[in-house]
Amino acid sequence: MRRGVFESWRPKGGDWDRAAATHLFRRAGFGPRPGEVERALADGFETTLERVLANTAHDRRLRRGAHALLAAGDVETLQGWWVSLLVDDGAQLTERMCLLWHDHFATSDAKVDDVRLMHRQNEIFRELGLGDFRAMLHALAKDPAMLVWLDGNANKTGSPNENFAREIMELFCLGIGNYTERDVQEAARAFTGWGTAGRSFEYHAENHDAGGKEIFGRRGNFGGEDVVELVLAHEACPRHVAQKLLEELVHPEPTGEEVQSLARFLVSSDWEIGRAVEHVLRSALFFSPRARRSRIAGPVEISVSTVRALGARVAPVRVARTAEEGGQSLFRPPSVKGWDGGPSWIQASSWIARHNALAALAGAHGGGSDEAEVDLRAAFGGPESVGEVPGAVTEHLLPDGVDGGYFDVLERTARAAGGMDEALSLVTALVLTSPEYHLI
Amino acid sequence: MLKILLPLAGLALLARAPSPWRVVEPLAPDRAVETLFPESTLLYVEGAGLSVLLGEGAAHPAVARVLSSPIGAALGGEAALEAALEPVDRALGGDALATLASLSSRGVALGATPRGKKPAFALAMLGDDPARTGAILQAALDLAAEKAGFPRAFEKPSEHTLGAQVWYVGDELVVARRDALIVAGNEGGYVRDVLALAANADGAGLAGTSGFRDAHDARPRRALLWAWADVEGLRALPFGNGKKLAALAEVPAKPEVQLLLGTGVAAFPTARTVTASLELDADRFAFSLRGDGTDEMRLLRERAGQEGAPLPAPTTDDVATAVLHRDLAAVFEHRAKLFPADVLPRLAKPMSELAVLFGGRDLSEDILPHVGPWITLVARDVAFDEGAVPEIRLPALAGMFRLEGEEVGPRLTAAFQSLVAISNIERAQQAKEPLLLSLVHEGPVSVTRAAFLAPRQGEGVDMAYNLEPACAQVGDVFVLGTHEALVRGLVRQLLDGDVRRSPGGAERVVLDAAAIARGIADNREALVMGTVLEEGKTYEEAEGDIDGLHALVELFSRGRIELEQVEDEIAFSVELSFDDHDRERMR
Repeated sequence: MRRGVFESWRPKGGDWDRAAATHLFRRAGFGPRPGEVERALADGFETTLERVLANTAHDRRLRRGAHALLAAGDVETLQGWWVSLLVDDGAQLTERMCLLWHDHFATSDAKVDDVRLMHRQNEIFRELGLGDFRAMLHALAKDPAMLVWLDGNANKTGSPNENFAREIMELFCLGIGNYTERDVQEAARAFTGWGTAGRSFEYHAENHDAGGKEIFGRRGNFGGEDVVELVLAHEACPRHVAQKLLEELVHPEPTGEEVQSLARFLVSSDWEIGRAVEHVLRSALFFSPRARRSRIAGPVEISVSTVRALGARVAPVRVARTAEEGGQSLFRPPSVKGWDGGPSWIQASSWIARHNALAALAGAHGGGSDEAEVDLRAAFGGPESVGEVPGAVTEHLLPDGVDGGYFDVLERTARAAGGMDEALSLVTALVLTSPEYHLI
Repeated sequence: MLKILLPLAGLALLARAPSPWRVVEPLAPDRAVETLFPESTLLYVEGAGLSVLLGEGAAHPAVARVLSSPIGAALGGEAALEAALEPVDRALGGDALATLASLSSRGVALGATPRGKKPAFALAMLGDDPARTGAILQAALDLAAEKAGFPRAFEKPSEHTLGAQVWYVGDELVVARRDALIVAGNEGGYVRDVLALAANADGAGLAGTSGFRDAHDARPRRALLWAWADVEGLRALPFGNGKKLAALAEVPAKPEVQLLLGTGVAAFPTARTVTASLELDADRFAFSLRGDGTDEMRLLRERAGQEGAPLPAPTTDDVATAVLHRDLAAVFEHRAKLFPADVLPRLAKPMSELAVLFGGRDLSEDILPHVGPWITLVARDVAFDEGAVPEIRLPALAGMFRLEGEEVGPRLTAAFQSLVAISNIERAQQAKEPLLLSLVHEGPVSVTRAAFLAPRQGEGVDMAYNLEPACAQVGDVFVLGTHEALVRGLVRQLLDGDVRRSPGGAERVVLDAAAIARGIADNREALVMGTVLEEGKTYEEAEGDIDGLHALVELFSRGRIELEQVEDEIAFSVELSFDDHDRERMR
């Protein structure tokens, strides 16, 4: 591993500032709550990072609460339940990784049509998403939701279904160009007999093709577990996983050197995702100007992080619905490729939905909405005059700074408002709907 | 001569006009509070029993019962009530409740009328001790002035008019006292109208109008609160809720309202006047609502006089029983007269779809006219098969209705089977397991049922397992339910003669509070989590809400909702009983 790519960040002077702390909270979670940045600045970088990494304890009642509702079979309730965990302070990094893996191993209830199975898969991401990637991949290969989603039950000797075999190579672990069609066909034979019975994984020996196979140039009487191990041992696998981690945590277009470096670290750390994530979060690369505000926030990210930033009280199912209107329906990714992300988040209709939802949230200040409770004054450190509002709002929501001309507009807006409450609502709405706010 | 006569005539005219300097007689001891409100009043609320309730305070039987219940204990009981009132007691220099009781010992009422584009309100409190009334009001005004930072600002009244002292407290409050009468309102003109009536010993105001007087005379004598509204007048208001009320009067022309809520509830918004009353005593809480001059919906009630639906004897598992009038045959027969032309296609579509279940027969001609207009709904806790007890457990629901003619029963049974078969096709397309149709017997009666296979052990039992639909016919009674166990139980009751005909005329819902409380307790975690997710409350807040609801339901033993429609009058009542001893009466 070449030194330097992930060189540790050692903040000097004012490096550890509001912008840096906010960047850490946004990428390692869903943004700061009111007061969280101030605490981070008081504690310093190292203490704050340790707290972010150690913070993996959910509110147990919320987490367990899903079980009481699964019997209703309603995916909207399940979406709301996950949002409640995303908003909760308990395990921000865990939930960030959960969302990452949900997008990566995209499985949709639109086909699975069973919220218990979707919940179980979600719990795999929660339990193993920061742990051993190999264990997570094995678990997902036998996950009933995945088996239903990629037609495991139709994969039988004599008529193998290639869906899972193809996606574990193309999308999940290797990427196009790192395997052949023959590899897919042979791997599909190895997975024959893997199916479900009710809501459980079941191996149907009578459907398994026990013949010899050749995968990645190796011959053997391979079964499903063997294929998973072969994929994990493939040189492209750590690169593929590292690419995904870097796109999410650092920059949407990581360099080849960055990917290769993290891939090596991943293998040397025995596939422990948590260690790789810590490696990234400690790096100067993570805090570099190139990384900051380099990604367009997805609808779930923007909805959840805004609720947190404003200290707003909104029904979780409402937040999930807002994200759906913005183009991201939890547990219902559009295809096995997950969401396209990036610029595709900003389509005409989805932008209008985003804009309206955020403006409505700002308008809820002072009791202006039945759907949300927001106290913007408390969220922004208690500005005492209308003149202080633009500074307070931008300091909290756009800590990297704003263009002088734009700030003038905010000041004029505040002055034209009919009092403190209106100034807070209007200025916050302008900032929330500004392009800059949607870059995280 | 004219020079002398004209001034004299002017003086004579002045003498006839009400003068602010004229000495005004005290209010007659039998002066009723309703005579103090002008005829223009569109909304009137009288707190006839409030004085007694306030006077007794925590000793009032109903208040004592609430305070000694779990919900009262959770709120801190009598001590919390005393603590909450303590600052008010201190400010008024005595027992606040007793003070309020003395201020309203001869009546308290609130009236409202439109003034310009705003509603004007006036509250009149009539006591029996002018000196005490004056002292208490002055103390309250002094306190308000002090709180506002202007001590002694209200030491003297702003003006004297119509024999009353008047204070203007800010822009939105006018307070006046005349004798033992206190009037407070948000608008000077309406308050002056009340004072003018008070000054007129013969004034009757609103109470002089026949519509109001008749309704007032018929009010329940034990009412804690009684209200009267000139809905026709409110509907005519071109602002505020007037337009909403006018829009509400169009509700009967909506088929879905007629089908779901029935003719009585649907006709309520068309009433000319509405009265409401609230009673609270040692063993019950009762609320009643009465609408006069409603749209009769006569076409839909032609068969209402027929024999009522079968009413099974209560069991300990009953959660609720309802007797409802839903004459679907009449709704469809008269649809062209009842509903606007643009909604008729909405009715045609489901009718043609339902015809598929009945072998292509015309529902409105071949089926519905043979189904009685009264239906009994029974919600009852049932025992589930071991291994298939749903994690979210709901009571089973069944409907019972009379059939006319021999052919319709088998047709309904065949339609039930067709419906299950069609739903199975849809389930098969979604790779879901089917509902299995089978025939079981309860004595000599065949029960058609459909059920899912038992779920695999350890994989959870979905809410769908609450559904095990079944139907059966016993004599001229058809039973259709969400669960076989309930349908069989009702069949057994019919066979045993444990069923009587419900009295026709009134629609009625009887709720068992203990069973509902049990349902809340059984599903507590799901309800709490649902509140967290749907309302955005914290877990603790949601727990408080659900536990509070549970305690509130537990406070009562039984509830009865009744709706009776006679010509253009509709009476709706809700009665919640604290005690279980009148179980049979409540049915």
